[in-house]
Amino acid sequence: MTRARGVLGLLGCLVLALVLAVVVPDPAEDLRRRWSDADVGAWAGTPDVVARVTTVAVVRSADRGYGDPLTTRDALVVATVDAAVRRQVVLFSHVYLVTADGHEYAPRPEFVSAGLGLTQPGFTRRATLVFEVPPDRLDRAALVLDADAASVDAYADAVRVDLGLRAPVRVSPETVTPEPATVTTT
Amino acid sequence: MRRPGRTARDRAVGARPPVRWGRWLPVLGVVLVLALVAVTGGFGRAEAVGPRRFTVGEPVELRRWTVAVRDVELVDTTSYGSPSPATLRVGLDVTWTGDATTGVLPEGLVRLVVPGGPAPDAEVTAVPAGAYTGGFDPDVARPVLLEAVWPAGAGPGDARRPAPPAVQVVLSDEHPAQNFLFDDQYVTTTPLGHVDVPVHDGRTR
Repeated sequence: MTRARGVLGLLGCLVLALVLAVVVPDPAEDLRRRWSDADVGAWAGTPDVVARVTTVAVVRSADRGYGDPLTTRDALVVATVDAAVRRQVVLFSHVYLVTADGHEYAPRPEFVSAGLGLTQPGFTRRATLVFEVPPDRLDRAALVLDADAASVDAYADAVRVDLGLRAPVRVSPETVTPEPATVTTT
Repeated sequence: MRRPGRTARDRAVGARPPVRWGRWLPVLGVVLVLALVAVTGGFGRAEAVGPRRFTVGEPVELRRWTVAVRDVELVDTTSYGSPSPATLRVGLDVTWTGDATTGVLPEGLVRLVVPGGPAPDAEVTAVPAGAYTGGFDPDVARPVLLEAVWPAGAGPGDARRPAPPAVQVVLSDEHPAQNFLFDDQYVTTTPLGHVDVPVHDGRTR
């Protein structure tokens, strides 16, 4: 009798654990952010970084200065960003363009030398980010500078900039050449 | 206090030894397992799986990708122009249909078979295609080049063999394999079908 109760108790605990695993929200998908919102041209900040988007262009082609230019059948969103790092090193490892329907686009790695990267406190990095996105997803798209530990940190501060794109978004046939990133003292 | 009308037989039943629940544990375990299998969809009807044949350029919709096989070329130089062993280079148009940018085409999604042999190297590697060097953005089609040395183990100085007239580009799909550590885990399934593609001999030596 005692052994049977023990086994039943164990089964009950297993069932409870399974129910909890199914019912409780996945912490990896239940990220909480304290957003610092801004429009193009305005500064937005977290305790670690202050940033602004200075220009936004939507083009068909971007040139790295060597090899073939990246030409798309969709759209390339080219955003110039100033990011002033405040109190500790920032990697900018979770920067993305988010569309109104929640799709996330990482900067194209072909333009990594122009993009955001490790920056020490006290310095401002001017970078150009290139995103490849279907044109019909550009309406109300925003640029997000999320915390470096975003994938494991469910509670963090992040910058979100409305890129000012509204439907219908025109894709310019011109080719742009992003400048290499520069770093200056803040 | 004795209740009125209670017979001696009732009292005898009441005096029975306790029920031995232990004998029902295996049954309970089986019911529990069956319930879990049912809840997680294990009794659902599986999609029909069998060899299918696709055509060149036909978009094949997989669970997370759309793949169209464009062409196959037999080359003996790398994409940068350096000498290489004889290599089958497959041109694809690939679209990632996930919610966020991802890094690479999963291993095993595309394989090569040379009818009549010899077999190409089982390792299929991606090389830069056009200006693209990096990942896949949601619902953005981009070119992909995959290479496999043919025959397997061939070197740059090996004797020239006649090019195979055609190869089969075998496409497999993925199956979700979520576990308690990784919520976005997939494994490659058995082949879904293949495309017969004529081989263009682009060797220079």
